[in-house]
Amino acid sequence: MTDTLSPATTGATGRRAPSAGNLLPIIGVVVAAVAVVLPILVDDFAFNYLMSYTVITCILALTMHLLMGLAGVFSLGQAAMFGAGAYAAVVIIGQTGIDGTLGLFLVAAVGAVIGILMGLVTLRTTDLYLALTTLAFGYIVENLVRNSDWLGGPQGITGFDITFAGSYLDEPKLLYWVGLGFLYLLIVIIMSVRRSKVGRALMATRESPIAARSIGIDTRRYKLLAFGVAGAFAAVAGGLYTAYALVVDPSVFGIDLTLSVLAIAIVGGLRSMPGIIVVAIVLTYFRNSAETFGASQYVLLIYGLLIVLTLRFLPQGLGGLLTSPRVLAATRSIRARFHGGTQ
Amino acid sequence: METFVQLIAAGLVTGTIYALIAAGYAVLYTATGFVNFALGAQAMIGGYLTYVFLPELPLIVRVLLAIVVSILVSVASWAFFYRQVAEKDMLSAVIMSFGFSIVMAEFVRIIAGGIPLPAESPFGSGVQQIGILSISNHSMAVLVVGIVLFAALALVFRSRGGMSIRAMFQDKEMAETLGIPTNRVVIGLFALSGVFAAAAGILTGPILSMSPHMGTSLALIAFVGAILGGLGRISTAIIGAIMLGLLETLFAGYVSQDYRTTLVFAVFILVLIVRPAGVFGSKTKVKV
Amino acid sequence: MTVILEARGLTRKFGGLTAVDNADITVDEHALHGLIGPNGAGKTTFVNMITGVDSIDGGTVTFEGKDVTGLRSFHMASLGMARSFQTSQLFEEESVLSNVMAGRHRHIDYGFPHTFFYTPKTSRVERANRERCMALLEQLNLADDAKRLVAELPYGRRRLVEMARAIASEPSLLVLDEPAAGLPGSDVEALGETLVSLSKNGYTVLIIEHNIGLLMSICDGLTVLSEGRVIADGVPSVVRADPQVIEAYIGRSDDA
Ligand SMILES: Nc1ncnc2c1ncn2[C@@H]1O[C@H](COP(=O)(O)OP(=O)(O)OP(=O)(O)O)[C@@H](O)[C@H]1O
Ligand SMILES: [Mg+2]
Repeated sequence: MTDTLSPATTGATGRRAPSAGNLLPIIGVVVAAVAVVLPILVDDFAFNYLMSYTVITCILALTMHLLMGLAGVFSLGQAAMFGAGAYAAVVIIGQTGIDGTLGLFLVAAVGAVIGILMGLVTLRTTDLYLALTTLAFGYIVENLVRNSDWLGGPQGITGFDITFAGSYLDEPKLLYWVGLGFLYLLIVIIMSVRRSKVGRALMATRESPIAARSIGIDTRRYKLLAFGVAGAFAAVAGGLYTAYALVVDPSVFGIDLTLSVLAIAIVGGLRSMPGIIVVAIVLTYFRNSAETFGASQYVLLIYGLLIVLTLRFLPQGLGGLLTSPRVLAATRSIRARFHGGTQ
Repeated sequence: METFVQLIAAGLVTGTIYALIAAGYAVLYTATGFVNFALGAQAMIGGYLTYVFLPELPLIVRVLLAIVVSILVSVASWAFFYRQVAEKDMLSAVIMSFGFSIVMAEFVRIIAGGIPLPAESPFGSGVQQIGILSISNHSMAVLVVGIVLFAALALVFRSRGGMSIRAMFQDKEMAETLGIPTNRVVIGLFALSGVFAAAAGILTGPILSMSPHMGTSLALIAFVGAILGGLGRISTAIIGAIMLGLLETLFAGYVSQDYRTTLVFAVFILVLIVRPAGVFGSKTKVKV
Repeated sequence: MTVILEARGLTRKFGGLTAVDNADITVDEHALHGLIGPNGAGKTTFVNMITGVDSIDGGTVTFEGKDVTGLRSFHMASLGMARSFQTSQLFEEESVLSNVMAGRHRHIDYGFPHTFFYTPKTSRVERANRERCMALLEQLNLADDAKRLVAELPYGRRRLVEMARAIASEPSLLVLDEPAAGLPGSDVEALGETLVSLSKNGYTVLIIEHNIGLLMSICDGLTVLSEGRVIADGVPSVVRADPQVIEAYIGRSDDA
């Protein structure tokens, strides 16, 4: 047969273009490596401090990518997971004195439980109702914490030490590295999941639950899995945040946080991990500069505007630009030229 | 007994305010499937226009201004933002309205500051004694305005024009072939929901005092009320919201003031689990 | 011949309407079994109950000798019952290949560690999975479209993708709800050939169709539903001659 000659098969399964497609992972690895040594290259306290906060934000934003982009679960419950993680870290690491090497994993477990609980409650709901139920979770946890003396009530808790491997985690470089470790772990998990059975199951659950079930995918189980993993990492982000802020109070559950990650996820593109990471870095930097220039009161206004304008004019976010048909067609034609293609 | 009567009255007042927003939701939802979260923020702006921004103008002008602005915001946000997004992805449009309500809240916060400001009721601070019930003029006004507006809403929807609107809810394409201008009707409904939002803001100001982010929680709680009764019909949404107001007030009075937020959202989650279509709603299933 | 699927007395009520009323069906292994009936007869509801998509108000379903009454649809599918839907249920924003690869979900079993950390084992299994799916697409003449998004495909191709996804799961019973609806004549012919070759390869197929000519020519057995009840059941030549069947269809054309 002429199979090997037919253009479609070569296009579909045949040789892969070695250009842009294979360059991306290399770029990714280089960037990742630079990120590791960055605090040594730029040994500036304020900058390192900002970097540690950026990493925490990245983790949180990627949990949103996992839930919304991969599992298609429009959850606004990140604040509940993050806040629960923050309080859990203060109790487990700060007050009980368990070292962060173990403690942060316990915090992750707490977050996973909260996430799964959220998942269980919302199993039968979709879309809007799911978004609001998860948002409601934040309000409930906030209300409970605000009224509990044990957790410091409205004033919250200060004067605790978060340690990691015996050192104080409020040292920005250490905090950054620990955060980066968790961020890389999450990135590896997301990338692996996307290319494997679970990733397809999540995709199926997102695109058509009915069809997913018709091919043997237990959609509930995969939704819960996504909630669990997202909860675990969001809680770790919250735990790390306490080392950054040195105080934890009910504001960790606030609308401010929900709005910030939502803005990052939407502007970056729910489906795009690179988009979200880049936007998380840019917006965190922007927010920080706004604070230094005394313009911090405009930050939330701008986040709100970003959400509205992105949804209106760029529904796939910036990351969507990378995969939009027009851009894809352009890359294809460039590749074809490189390979002497006739098209 | 006296406490009970007092709480019932207070609950009805709170519930009526929730119901004004809930009615706005249901009016839009039944026609378009869209939930406009910004109604809460529109209420907030209505309140600021009435009580904070322009104290030098006569009251009636401020109130009219609040209503007009709310209508304009409602209509313009649909025409220029929500509609285009809602056509492709309803959820995005709803999230957008959430973002938009933050924009409005932050805008007001930047102008007027974040500190809650007291608002003086246009109906004075008098209190009436009716049997064992003592009720403020303002609370009575809330109930009266609520009843008038809900009655007006019922009249609009019972009229011949209202019939064609309802026909439109049933089948949009059919309505269009019958020559009902669905677009114009939807614009009209957004304007209507704007009036209700403004009324909620004007009435709630003296009770809660004004703060920029009051709209966000008002929007959420009213939504809980609407789905408690059933968002699919205007009447059930209104009744649900009033029920939630009663429940919340009774809970605060007899059980705990501190945990009322927990109650409201626990009710929300419970309804979604047990009766996703609301207490009075009927279940609809997707056909495959 | 062994019986693979047996449903007894299945009943489904929607409010006052009994969509399926005490209906039986028996499908033999390796058979091509047709389910026909006028519009609204309850065919879709019937197979929805069998495949666990819809709940059952009465009756039992036995699949490969096991009582599977009331199991949820993903469970049925993992036991080897795959299906297509009357209104396409596809993963629209995904490629054809990815749709079909998802179909093999139940055959891929590496544990969670291999999912969370893309190991050599994951890579091996996934490559094999991809190759099998490509081979299937090749057979169904879909290979050209492997990388295209399903949403971009014309209607007929989409129907085929949905069938491919179901076949990919290598089901012991393949249920198809009106796969030929809306297809041009030539495609219907091709579909018929595909079904026959599936059956020759040992598949068991239960197919709902309005195209009675097609079913008469390829099916081993036919079941006829009308107003929720089974009015005839047997080999095509017998069913065709059944007066009740003729009446049900003539009655329908009178209405139309
Ligand atoms: N989810 C549902 N709720 C209410 N009624 C339903 C539902 N699903 C089906 N019905 C009704 O049950 C009856 C049988 O419908 P069904 O779809 O099973 O028929 P069908 O034989 O597949 O028809 P067609 O040939 O048009 O596909 C119809 O009267 C239909 O209106
Ligand atoms: Mg059917």
